[in-house]
Amino acid sequence: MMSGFVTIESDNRDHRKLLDGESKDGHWALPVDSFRYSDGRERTTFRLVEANPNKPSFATRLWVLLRPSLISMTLGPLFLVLAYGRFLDTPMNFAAFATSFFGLLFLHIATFAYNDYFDHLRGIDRYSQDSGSQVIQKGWFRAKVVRRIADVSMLGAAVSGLIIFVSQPELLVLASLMALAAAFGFSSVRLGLKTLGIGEMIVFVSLGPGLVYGLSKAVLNHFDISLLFLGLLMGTLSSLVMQVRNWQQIFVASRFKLGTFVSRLGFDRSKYFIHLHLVLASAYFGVLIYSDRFAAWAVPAVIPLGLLVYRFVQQVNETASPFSSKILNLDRRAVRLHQLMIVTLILVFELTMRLK
Amino acid sequence: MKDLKIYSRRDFPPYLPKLNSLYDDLFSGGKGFRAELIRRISGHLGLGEKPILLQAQTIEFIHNASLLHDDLIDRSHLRRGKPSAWLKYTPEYAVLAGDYLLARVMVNLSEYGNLRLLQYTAQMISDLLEGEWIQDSLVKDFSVTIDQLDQVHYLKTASLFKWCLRAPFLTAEIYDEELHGLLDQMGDLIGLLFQRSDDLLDFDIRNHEGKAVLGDLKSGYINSFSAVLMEDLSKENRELYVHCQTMKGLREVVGEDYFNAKLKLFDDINQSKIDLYGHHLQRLIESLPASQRGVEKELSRLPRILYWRDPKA
Repeated sequence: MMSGFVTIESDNRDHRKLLDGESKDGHWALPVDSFRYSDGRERTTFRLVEANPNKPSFATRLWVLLRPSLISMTLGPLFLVLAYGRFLDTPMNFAAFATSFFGLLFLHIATFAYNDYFDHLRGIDRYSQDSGSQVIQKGWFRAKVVRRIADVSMLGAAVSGLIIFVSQPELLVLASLMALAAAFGFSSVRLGLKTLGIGEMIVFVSLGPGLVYGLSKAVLNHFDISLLFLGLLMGTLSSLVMQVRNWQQIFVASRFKLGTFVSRLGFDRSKYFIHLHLVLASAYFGVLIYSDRFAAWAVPAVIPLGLLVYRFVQQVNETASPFSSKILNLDRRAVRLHQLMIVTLILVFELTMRLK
Repeated sequence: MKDLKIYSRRDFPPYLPKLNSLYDDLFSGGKGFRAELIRRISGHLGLGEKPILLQAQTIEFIHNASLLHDDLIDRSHLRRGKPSAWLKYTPEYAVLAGDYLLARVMVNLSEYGNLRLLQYTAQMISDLLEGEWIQDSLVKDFSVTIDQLDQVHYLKTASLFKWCLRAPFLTAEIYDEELHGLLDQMGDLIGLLFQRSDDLLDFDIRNHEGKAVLGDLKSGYINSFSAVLMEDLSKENRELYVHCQTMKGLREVVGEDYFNAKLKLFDDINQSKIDLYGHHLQRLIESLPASQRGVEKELSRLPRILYWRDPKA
């Protein structure tokens, strides 16, 4: 019987094959729903569709998978460090810059491709259509292709990292500490550490002070108090993006019992937590921009940022529930805030240097 | 529902003023579809009259409690063509009468002593209330998406249908996890289909019962078909749309062809849900012993009744 659907338990060998996107009788199997047994096994129902469904070009599909909108979070600090180096007139190591650029780019691709792949295996992206890039669920890429892209990118990131560590061995210690913290935070589910904000702290350090410190040592061989505030600012804004994403997913996280700091706080108190990020980011930005070295003309540069922050706060306050339409594009607005902050700071560094 | 007397004055205290009159009004107009579904499924599982009545009362009490609360929350003036309880009596009595029904359910089930059934019923009430709570936050939210609405409808509507499918098996002390997982998925699908079909009634589509049109829109609530209809409208037309008072006006705002294309799209999306339901039903039947396979007849016609509103089904 060809019903258009097939249902398989996770202890069946074909389950993983179908999840990985291998074809069944010449058809492509797309997971449509799943049921999890109390012993952790999963029963997944796949819809069998023609092997070549309507899909965009390969380049478009790859572009969506790579989450270009979030790339400022990984590559932004590198360009900020570069701009700050120019501002200080510090000699720069361009080989380290290029290696860091490709290393971060590969790491970005690997992180999000792995995220898509493993969330697909765990069934999260099937439940929430706002989770991940959805390239697997839409039938744009087979899951095993996404996994392969992630593996190759991770290899590229590892090679780039190795080159940097060979030239700057002290950075290896920092990277090891961050990896240790990450492993501890994410593997200690039983201790409930994820709900204590360990994951959020890791994002804060690894996309903020840790990343800026590593990059400035590698590219500029220099670190000072302004770079520390730059790192704190980047980390706070990256953490803001993560908190907003978790806030949007609070219902799914609660139903799947995926502990996040936001789900521990609850919907309403999380609003204050999100606002706290904005207060801290504003404080770090203020310290940076109004320190003695920057010209007074930098004041107008704050206006677009201020407007965006105002609209963001307004939207957070108007969000009545995790199902409100107001919450839908809030993460994109948080990312735009991160991007605008980077552009503003680069402009401030560049113009202050030229007008000195 | 000729065979089952869901509501009897004798089951409730005679000394509480207005309670019995309120319940007389409340229970007099309903179709009792859920109770009938339970009765039919239970019949194939060999359940006796008493446990069938218990289940039928449970689902109808919970459903009617939710209607009492719903009407007050929505400030609806009419229920089944008659004044709503909160208007005819008082809002306080409407709330208390709803709470009392829920309490009665718990008393009846605890007396019966099937702990699994009791636990599952408590979970269903909890889901239902979560759905009600969230739905209230969506009033005047004119940009809500169908995916967001689905999450609410799984809680608010599908939870009751899931209960109707699972409760007879729990009552018959059939606790197989795989079987209940399947029934859960089927209940989710059928509940969602019922809600979406109910949302279509608001647009006078397959509205054989002559339900009032555009009630949701006029109350500031965007239902699932509204969400699909509004998807590709311009900003100006969306503004006009949310203020429409008649179907004629609405069809003029969106355009006849656009309306029909969206209706076809909506039906196609839901047909794929019906196909998935059919697949799960097939698997359910294969997993049941021959003596219980008669449930197929009851379950296979649900999409025709609940989504296509086929009076012959």
